[in-house]
Amino acid sequence: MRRIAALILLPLALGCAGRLEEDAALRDRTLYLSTLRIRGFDPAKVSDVPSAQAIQRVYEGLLQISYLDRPYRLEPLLADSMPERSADGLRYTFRLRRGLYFADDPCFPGGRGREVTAEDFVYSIKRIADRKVGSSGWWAFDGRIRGLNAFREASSASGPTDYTLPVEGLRAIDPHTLVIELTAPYPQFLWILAMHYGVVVPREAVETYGDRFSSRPVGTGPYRLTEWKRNYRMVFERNPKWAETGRGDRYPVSGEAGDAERGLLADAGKSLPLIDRIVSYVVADPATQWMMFLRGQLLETDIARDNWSVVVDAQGALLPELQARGIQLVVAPQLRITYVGFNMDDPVVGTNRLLRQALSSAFNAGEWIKLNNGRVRPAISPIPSALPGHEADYAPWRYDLERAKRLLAEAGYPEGRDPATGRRLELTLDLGRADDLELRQSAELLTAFFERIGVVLRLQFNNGPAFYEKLERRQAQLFYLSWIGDYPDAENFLQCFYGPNASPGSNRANYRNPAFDALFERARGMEDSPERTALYAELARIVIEDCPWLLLSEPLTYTLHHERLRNRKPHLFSFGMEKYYRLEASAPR
Amino acid sequence: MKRLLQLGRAQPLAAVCLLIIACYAGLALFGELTYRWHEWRDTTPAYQQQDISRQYQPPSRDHWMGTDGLGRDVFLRLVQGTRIAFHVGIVTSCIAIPIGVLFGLLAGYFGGRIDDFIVWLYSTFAAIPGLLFILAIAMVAGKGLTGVYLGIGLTTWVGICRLVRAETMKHRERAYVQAARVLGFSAPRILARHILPNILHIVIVTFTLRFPASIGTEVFMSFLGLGVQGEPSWGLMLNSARTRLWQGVWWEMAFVTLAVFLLVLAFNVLGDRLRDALDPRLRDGGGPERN
Amino acid sequence: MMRFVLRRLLQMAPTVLGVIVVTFVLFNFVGGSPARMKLGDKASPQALEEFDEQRGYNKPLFWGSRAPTRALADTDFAQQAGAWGTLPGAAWQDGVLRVSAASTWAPPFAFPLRPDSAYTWSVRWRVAGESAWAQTELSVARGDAAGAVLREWVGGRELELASISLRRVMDRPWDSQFVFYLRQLARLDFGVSSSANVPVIDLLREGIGPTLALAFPILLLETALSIALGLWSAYFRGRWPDRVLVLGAVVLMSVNYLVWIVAGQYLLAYRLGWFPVWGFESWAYLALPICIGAFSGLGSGVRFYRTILLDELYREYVRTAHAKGLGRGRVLFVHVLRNAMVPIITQVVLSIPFLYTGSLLLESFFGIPGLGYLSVNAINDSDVDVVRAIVVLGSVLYLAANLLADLCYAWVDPRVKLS
Repeated sequence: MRRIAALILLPLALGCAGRLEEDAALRDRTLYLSTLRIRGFDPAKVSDVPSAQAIQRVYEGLLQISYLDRPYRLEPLLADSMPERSADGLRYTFRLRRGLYFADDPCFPGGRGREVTAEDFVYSIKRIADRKVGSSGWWAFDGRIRGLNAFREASSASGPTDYTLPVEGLRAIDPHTLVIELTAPYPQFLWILAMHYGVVVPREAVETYGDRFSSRPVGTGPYRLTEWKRNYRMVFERNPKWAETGRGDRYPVSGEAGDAERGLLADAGKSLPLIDRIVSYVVADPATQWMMFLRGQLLETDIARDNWSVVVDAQGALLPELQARGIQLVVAPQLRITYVGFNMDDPVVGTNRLLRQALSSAFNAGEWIKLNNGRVRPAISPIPSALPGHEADYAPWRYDLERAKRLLAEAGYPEGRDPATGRRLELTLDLGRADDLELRQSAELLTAFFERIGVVLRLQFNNGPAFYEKLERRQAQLFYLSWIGDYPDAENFLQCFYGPNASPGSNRANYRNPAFDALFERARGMEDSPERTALYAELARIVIEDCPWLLLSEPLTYTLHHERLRNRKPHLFSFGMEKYYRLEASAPR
Repeated sequence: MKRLLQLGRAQPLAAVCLLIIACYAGLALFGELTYRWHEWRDTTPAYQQQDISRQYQPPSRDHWMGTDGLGRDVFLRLVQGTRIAFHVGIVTSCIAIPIGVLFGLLAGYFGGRIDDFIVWLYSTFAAIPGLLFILAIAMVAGKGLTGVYLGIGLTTWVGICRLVRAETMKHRERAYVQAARVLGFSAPRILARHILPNILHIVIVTFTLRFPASIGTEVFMSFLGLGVQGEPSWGLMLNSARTRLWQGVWWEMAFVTLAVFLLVLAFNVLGDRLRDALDPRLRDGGGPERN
Repeated sequence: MMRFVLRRLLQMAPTVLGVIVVTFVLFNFVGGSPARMKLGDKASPQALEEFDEQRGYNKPLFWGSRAPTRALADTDFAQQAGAWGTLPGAAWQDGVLRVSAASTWAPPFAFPLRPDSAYTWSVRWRVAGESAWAQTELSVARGDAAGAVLREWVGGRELELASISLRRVMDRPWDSQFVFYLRQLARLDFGVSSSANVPVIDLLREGIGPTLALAFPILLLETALSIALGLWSAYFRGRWPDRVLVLGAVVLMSVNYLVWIVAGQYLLAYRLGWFPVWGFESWAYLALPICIGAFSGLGSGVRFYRTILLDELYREYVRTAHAKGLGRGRVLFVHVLRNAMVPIITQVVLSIPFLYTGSLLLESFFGIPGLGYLSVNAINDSDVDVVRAIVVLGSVLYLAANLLADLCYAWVDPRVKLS
């Protein structure tokens, strides 16, 4: 019996761990990255950044965001050219590139990937609208395309959804022409098509794999997923279909001024992708990431707050010993604002603008930056500094302890005393993660800021789902959150204050201001123009004055990479951009 | 006092352990008083005072054990952490021991249906993977200490229940219990007056052995972010100490580790000695614990 | 033999049922909604409700004719106005909502009510100006998508509302989440993970390998070392090697598990570079976690096996063996060890279920994609289906191991009869 047990268990254990380390030649051709845990490869279902990054290596959409050009612009990817737009701004006609194929996969007849047609795009967008799919991306299409909402209603009927049901504003005229008609002018719609919700998925794969489609991606992209040990690593390899069908995607030949000097145009015109293989490890712990980077197990890493002093000197330059090892530092802004939201439905903070202004004035950006080791910039406007509409000189609530105390007294809490109880005013801050140390420390620093004006801040740590449920029910008083821009347009940030978007929508502060809403509705349909920028600035001022958010900071990313990794230009929307990277052969050891 | 001295002479090791535990208990009491005092005065206690300009300072005369990432004094927080550790040890015992003893007595004394039910109940609880169960209960009860108390309390009564049940069954057949029955004493009276005092040693031994285990579990849970929210606890401190450890910020890690180690060691040694003295036949509930 | 196994299996049934009930009760109170997790933070309440409908989350827990709906959040006006604050013709003031007469308002539903369901309103109200509160239940027949019933009930009056809630009426009270769950289990369907978007069974299948690769060697190493040291200790019982070992065991036991891991990873892997820091590429990567795992359990292991061996040492047969003139070592290693096999095997067999749960911390720290790591993540994500599946399977395995242990007794010790 003992022998039997050993016979059963040992090979099982051996077989599972017995992989050898990758050999040197393979290592040389492989880009090693780290990522956070991803939620699968179904583009309709995920909504987090790491998943979107993985997905856009495998899947592609009609449009993409330019890699080198700044300001960011849209360029055709699977479309042959930018779409024609009708005069009223409602109708977009896309022409598809010829000779686009899905990767080979057993879900296709004969296992050979077939050509992509306009119908596939119709299917992919319908799939996001399908109630039974339960897509997290419906907000991006809700009410925008003519007839799509009716399709969504029809999809709630029992039985499988009928995808042959026509949608008026979503038609394939011929295999290579797609027409999309909007319900109202909405210039940002094209940006949405460049997100991961706009990628094309083959119907065969969805139907063959069912529940498991999420772990069996089949796309048109430069890479395909060849191995996935969930919670450990993903391996992507060059999609052989590209060479086979002669897909001619090339490295851009021009870029922003100065790109040539930075060596970013060395590969101009070369055929993509430049790297054969990507291995992406799931490492959440910054200390572990850092140790792996130093040992060469990763080619790129973000510098966590606590690694700062061993990487960068007081002037913000890379330490000489790291420079000597051929490590490079890249500093880049993020399109992201971290904030503490005030629930405007809360009887204490929601009705008292002076209190919110007082708390905003008590926020000491200098100490905040020190805690973050300079890896953040102060946020002064709900529009990030990278976008038009941001006004660098309008910051009425800069740190001023005296003003904070004065405002607090005017708000009805002299020296923080709550007249109702006779004790210090007590507020509760909800946080969405309990196991994140940086977050905990940041929140504890906030308690110190508030304590200086006599306000007690209690911290309430939740896990993600519990936190969002609280927000949705408007039960949180203060909440710590950040908004990551989906596309480079201030509209994406300002819609967080639009009344109809109140919880459970993206307006988590439940801010309601008819004047703001009216202006916003006007700005939303406008083309990019100085008038629109002025309107954005005006909207931002309204928000700043009302303080529904206590603006904390705009994070920067400090990334280190080994010199071997070339063509790495910092990008705000770095989704699927690894196809432009190149690896140099490592120096013989 | 005299008896303590006697103990000291007969069992020097146990006496030292008792002394160590007493010191910790004193610190915990001090921490509790500090906490209450500041609560009552509505002020911010010294162990919460931050000063970002003094972050990560090594031990010095001002800060005996250095400062942490927000410039708070590690020594003061360590003392305050004792308070949480004792809270956890005592409250979880107060949940687990009464449940375990009550069920054990009932099952052992009455037998039959009651016994069947209680055996079913504890075998159900015993079958569920322990640590996972604790974490799940803590999640359900909400983050914070309540979750920790309930999680540990509601899972650890099983062992005590088992021991008490077996012991009660033995006592039920003894002459003194039979006599009490013949005299017509009621069951609650027999259980409370006659049997309970005779099995009290089990309670004492389990308490001394459960206490350090609970502390260990709390450290673990706080580490995962399921524990204390606003107050300093050893688990939280260990976790925050870890981030800068390999840059040479050793003090928080070292002192907290030492503090936890000493207390747990003292309890473990004392528990062993007590067991040897009171009932050598009592054994650990099982083999090595796993997490 | 077969009859014994069958009887034991029957005895296990109530415990298994108990485990199912306990886990069900527990995980249905977990904060956070699986729908929200799955659909992301931009999903509409209607989408969430539809998700719940598909998975049965919108039914009552065990039994009941009322189920919650996301169309309208329960609102206690003493705290906030919620969605009612923007209602034309209503005003929120001093903790009550005043609803005036003339306007043609509709309740602020997030989406129209289901036409195929009946609902009931529960309102705490009073006529404006009066002091006494009244509680009213209003039932809504099918098809009132816009909430006309409530409007008609208010009618021409001027009312103040203190709280309001809406519940869906279930046609069959036993049509509950619990029954739904039992049916799922009966089909061996553990549901779909809300955080990974794949069937839970896939996650379990992927995780079991790495977990065993870590946990099995730990168990072997730890048991072997513990027994060896236990024997050593028993051999020298009462003398100084024994004392040192016993004290050492207590010291080992008192070191927190976290400390072992952090110190091991930092010192041995990072500082000295003897082991890889993180990863799951080959056996070299597993060496350090295995050592840490085995070492941390050594203290209690040694104590346990020493006690067992000492118990045996005081038996009659040992004295007989000594009397026969057998050497101390031979008695210990041959006779005692063989007779101590029963408790040793029990201990080892009962540890098997723990192999399956894996080591939560070791796996998280060293990036081993096993079930322990999966559990920690699932708990942080409120991924109810995953945690529940791991707990239920773990419990069943534990019970199975118990049975196995009983069978082993009989195998090792012919005196034990299976009856």
